[in-house]
Amino acid sequence: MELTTRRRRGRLEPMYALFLLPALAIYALFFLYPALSTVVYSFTNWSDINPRDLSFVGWKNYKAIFDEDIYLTGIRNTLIYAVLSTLLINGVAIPLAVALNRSFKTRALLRSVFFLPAVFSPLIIGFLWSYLYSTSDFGLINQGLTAIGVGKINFLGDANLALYAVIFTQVWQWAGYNMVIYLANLQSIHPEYYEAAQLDGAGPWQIFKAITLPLLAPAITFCTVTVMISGLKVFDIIYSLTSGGPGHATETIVSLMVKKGLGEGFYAFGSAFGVLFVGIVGLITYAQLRLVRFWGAR
Amino acid sequence: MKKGMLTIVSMLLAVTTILAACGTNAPVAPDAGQEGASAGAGSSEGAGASNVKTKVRLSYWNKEENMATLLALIEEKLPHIDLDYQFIDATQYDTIIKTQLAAGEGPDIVGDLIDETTVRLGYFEDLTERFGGKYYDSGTANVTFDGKLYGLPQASWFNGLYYNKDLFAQYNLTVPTTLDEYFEVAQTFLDNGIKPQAIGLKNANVAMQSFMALALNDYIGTPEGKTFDAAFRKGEATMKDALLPALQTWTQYLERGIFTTEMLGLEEEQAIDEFTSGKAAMFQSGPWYMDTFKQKNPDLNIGMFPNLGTKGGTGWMVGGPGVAFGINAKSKAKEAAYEVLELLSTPEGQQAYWQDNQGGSSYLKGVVFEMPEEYADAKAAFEQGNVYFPPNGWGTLRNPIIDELGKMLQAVVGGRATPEQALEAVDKKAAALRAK
Repeated sequence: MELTTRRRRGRLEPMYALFLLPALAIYALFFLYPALSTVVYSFTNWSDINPRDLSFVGWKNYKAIFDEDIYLTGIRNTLIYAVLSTLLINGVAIPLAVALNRSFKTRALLRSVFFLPAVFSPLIIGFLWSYLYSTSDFGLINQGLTAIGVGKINFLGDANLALYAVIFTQVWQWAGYNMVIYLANLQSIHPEYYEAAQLDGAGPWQIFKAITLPLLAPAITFCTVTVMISGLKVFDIIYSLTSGGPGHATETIVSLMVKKGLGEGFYAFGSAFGVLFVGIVGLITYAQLRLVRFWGAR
Repeated sequence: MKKGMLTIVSMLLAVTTILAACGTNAPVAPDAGQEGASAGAGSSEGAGASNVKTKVRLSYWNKEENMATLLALIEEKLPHIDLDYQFIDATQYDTIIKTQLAAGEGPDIVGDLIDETTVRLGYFEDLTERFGGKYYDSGTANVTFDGKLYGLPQASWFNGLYYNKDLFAQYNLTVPTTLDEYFEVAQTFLDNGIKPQAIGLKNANVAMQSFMALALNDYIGTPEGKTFDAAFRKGEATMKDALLPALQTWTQYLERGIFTTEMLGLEEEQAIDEFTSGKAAMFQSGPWYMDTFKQKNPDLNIGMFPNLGTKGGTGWMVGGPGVAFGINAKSKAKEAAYEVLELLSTPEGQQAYWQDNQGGSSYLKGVVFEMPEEYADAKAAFEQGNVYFPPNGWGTLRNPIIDELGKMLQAVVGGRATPEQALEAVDKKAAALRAK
């Protein structure tokens, strides 16, 4: 009896199942087919010189990724970028949301101000920060640093600094956006929890640690996973701010994939790098979700 | 049952709507308000009715305002052709157009991308019969394969060293004619707190152009270096063997404090600000920035002299054919595309193209443009034909090697690579590209 009920509950009427077909067809055509094709192409010698007569080359393209330092640099930079941007963006967004969840006069204005950078395209942000970071006498930040006696800092021209300078711009741009998500979550927390804690004599830090942070778990899961994924596939801000330079100091997986796979015509290599990239993103996202769930369960 | 029928009908409607959206537009006869005849990648031709315009799509990375006079001329002289000018940013241009060409589509007239690979893949029409012999060989050499012409080279581009005449006069300096003289001039400016040369090394291409200028003077433009480009393309010569002395000389710009690591954080536009505001005395670039200079500082009194080397001579301008236009072999409006290129291959057409791209010279035989006064100091170099861009001779290696060389020069400036390591990396990249 129970089995019958379960079957009936899980069964989709054939007529309604048909409604899924158009969406499924589009999904298959525009996602599944290209994705599977990419996997197939990654084992061939497909290039701009050889676009038609493809032959199977085994793991050659995958091995090539690990043969050159530049691709390992790209993978390392991507991981640094993704991890740091996830920690910093969320590390800034949570306290900001908590602060702007309180009632005060300029609250709405400040929320808008912090959210505002998120509405601009990364290309605009790149152009803007390129001027702010400039080492010329017209660079705003360096003008300020020189005025207070610190001297110029070569933010985008120093290979040791450039990646971190790029990360900073992204924290500036996206902390406000994530703050809004945390604010939505904060407003769903019942005030009675806080009242009870205050009656028990809990201080602000204890309240944050014991009530706010655990109850923010859904938003933390969402924000950290989305920021991590967009960090792993970072391209546009790198492209607009440094173009992967100076030298190859700020190349990332996607910037190299675009350069080698599309720009230089190594299509099969680009496909292999893409497949590897999906694997890396999948693994990291899975580990991250397990970590967040483990923390939530505690 | 009724409900079931309704569901099926709804689904059929949804599917047909999606399929209809995927279809190709059929040619449309013009009505009172619209003259376009077709849409999509291809174009209709010979639609029958005399008032039907043939649509020809021309793609190029030059902005539409830089083509305005030519487009107006085409509209006036070829009223039966509706030219759809498509500007695509240079950074995306190759990828977009190559993808379209690979799919058997793309614009009817293509700006650039004519190389050994694209010609071998059959993307371009052989233009020899209609245009062979009309243009100088110096312009057509890079778009001629197996004796067949595939592109029509337009006004040349070049860069040299712009200099601030007022600053030179203020410190009693004369235009340098050798690299040693240049270094002396630079030292005078450094001693007086002025940057000798503004350069946006944040852009890898700018770094590459600076080195190419010296390499041209010291090796590639000399009798012994004449065959370097072809040999490098074929893998018979390496950059390290041929250009290491030139790169070691180039590092003197760093040792003498003319180029600094700070300049790795400078965009070209920011370098222009330094030059036009008088904070820097020289700037390597070409005529395309002349309007920008005038806008930023209308009183700027400038001239240009050629890029210099250690071996003397008149110096070299880094440059070559600005763009070569070819016809897509799969174009459905081939005859109309030929008409457009025939108009372009007249003195009137060349003048119209040059009008918005001043500074260069025409490769069409019998057409001479008058050079503006600012380029008087570079006249001798032009007269000797010292205008060349070595990467044009590198075939399909061109763009990736330009990028890699620029990036490795940045690494040299930043102290993360020696000149040897930089050129080794470029040679390694070239070998991988040749083995593709």
